[in-house]
Amino acid sequence: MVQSMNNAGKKNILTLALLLLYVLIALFALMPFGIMLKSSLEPYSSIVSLDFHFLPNPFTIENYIEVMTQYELPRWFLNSVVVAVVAILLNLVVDTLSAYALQRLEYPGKKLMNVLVISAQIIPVQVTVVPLYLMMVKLDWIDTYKGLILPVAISPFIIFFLRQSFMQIPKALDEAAIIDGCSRISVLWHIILPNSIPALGTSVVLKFMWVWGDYMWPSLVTKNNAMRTLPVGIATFQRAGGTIPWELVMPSAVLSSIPIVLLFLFLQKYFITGLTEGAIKG
Amino acid sequence: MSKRKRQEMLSAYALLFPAILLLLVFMLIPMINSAWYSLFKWNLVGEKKFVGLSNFSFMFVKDASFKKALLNTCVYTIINMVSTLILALGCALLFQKQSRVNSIWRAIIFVPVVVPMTVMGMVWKMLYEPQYGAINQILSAIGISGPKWLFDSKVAMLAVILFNVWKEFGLYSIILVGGLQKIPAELYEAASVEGANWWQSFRRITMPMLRPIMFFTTTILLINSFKAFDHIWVMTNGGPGNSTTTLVTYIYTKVFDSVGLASAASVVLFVMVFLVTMVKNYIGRDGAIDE
Repeated sequence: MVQSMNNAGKKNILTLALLLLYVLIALFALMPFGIMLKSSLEPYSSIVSLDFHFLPNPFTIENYIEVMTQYELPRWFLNSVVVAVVAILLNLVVDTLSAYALQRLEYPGKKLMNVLVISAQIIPVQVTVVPLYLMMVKLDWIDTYKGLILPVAISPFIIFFLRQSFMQIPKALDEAAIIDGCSRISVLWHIILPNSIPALGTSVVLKFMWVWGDYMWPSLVTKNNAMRTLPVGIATFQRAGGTIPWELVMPSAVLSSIPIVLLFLFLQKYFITGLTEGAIKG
Repeated sequence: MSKRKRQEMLSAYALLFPAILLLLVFMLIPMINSAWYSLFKWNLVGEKKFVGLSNFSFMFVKDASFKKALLNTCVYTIINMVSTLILALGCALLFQKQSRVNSIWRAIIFVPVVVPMTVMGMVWKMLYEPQYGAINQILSAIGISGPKWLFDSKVAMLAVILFNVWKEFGLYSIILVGGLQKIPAELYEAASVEGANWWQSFRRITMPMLRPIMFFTTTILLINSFKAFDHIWVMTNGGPGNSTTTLVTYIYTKVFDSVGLASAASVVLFVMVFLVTMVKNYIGRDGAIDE
């Protein structure tokens, strides 16, 4: 009797400890978002006030109005959207076509092409950024959408990822279609693509996330305030004067996180498969 | 060559053309140029002067800021890797079982992974403010007077690492959950029949079975740590002093005044990443891991 009571007591303590651990981990992961949101909804004087509070005090949406009307934020948002959407579309075309050629067709030089894609995959952007920047200066592509988009219009990782998913589709399907008179392109369109929707979805969310969060390249290739993307623009807030205008930074941070967090909530599975595979293979 | 074969070849080249063009122009040629420029002394406006390997010898022998950046990168890499692995493995063990609550928690720890790095870096910069920042306010509420974080050259490196751990532990945790779920349940059942306790089965079953995926996670963490830049740049600019400069902040600041040095540092970074990748692929091919 005493023994079993002890066991039950032990179990309760364990459950309680576990519960506490879960709460602590969630707080660690989410607290910064909470404070970001809170600070975006109160005036600067409250943000820097020394008595700490968990809710905006006083509550105001003035910061959002100010940053939307008196700064370039809407333009940066638009730039980020344009760059992300066009980059995704270009990637879908370029990566799908090449993944298809790499997986399904036979031609001299196929091995070489494979090597090319693999070696491109291990080159970090940080290594190519200097010559790339000089190239943009020479081409006069600084402060242009071309300069922002074209260097990210291809992703060796996505080519690999798509190639792998095309591998799962039986070749017999292609052959049957070709006997029926389909061309190579219509095989891709009518057989391969409809059978790889999840992989395409993963590619889209990954590319969106990468481009949306990208900092180093857009910060080099844009000099004009109006051509900046969101992350680059938000980071420039810190340079004005000595102190940082948190009442501008926080609402901008909220607005730039919303699209990607929403996308994550709705398409969780794609993010998680893509990122874990990307981390392992990339 | 038959007509069909020739047609196949031509369509393959047509399909590959855009990819080849983009790969060459935006990745492989810049890569080669990077190595080429590293042999020159050049500051964008002035004349390019061939200097052989003297950029490298200058950096490794005389350039205190490069040596500091390299040292910082190593410190960053080690601390970041160890703390991320511990936290990620802890969470993976906690959330590995399939249940509704666990899948919610796995999503929670993944949220920091998806949001833009520099934007959250700015948010953390506010959290780290010595006076009004949330971290020190909470610390002082429990009677601890916190350090000046990003303004203290002794603590700044730890602060940027802590941010990075927060940003990425969810990703590695989910990778490890994948690894844990592949361990056959029978092993644990057999162990518990034999009377093994939690710690024994962790030591004897989980750790050895998890070794391949741990190895992979470690190599990825290494590569990503070598490339650390975005958050450091917005949070400290490499400061205070040069206490948080890394290889990539060195490259970034040199782009405008010394292309030769920036390129030479890029080559150093490439060699580091390349070596780790080779080790990773070599061991991967040896069959130590199967996905």
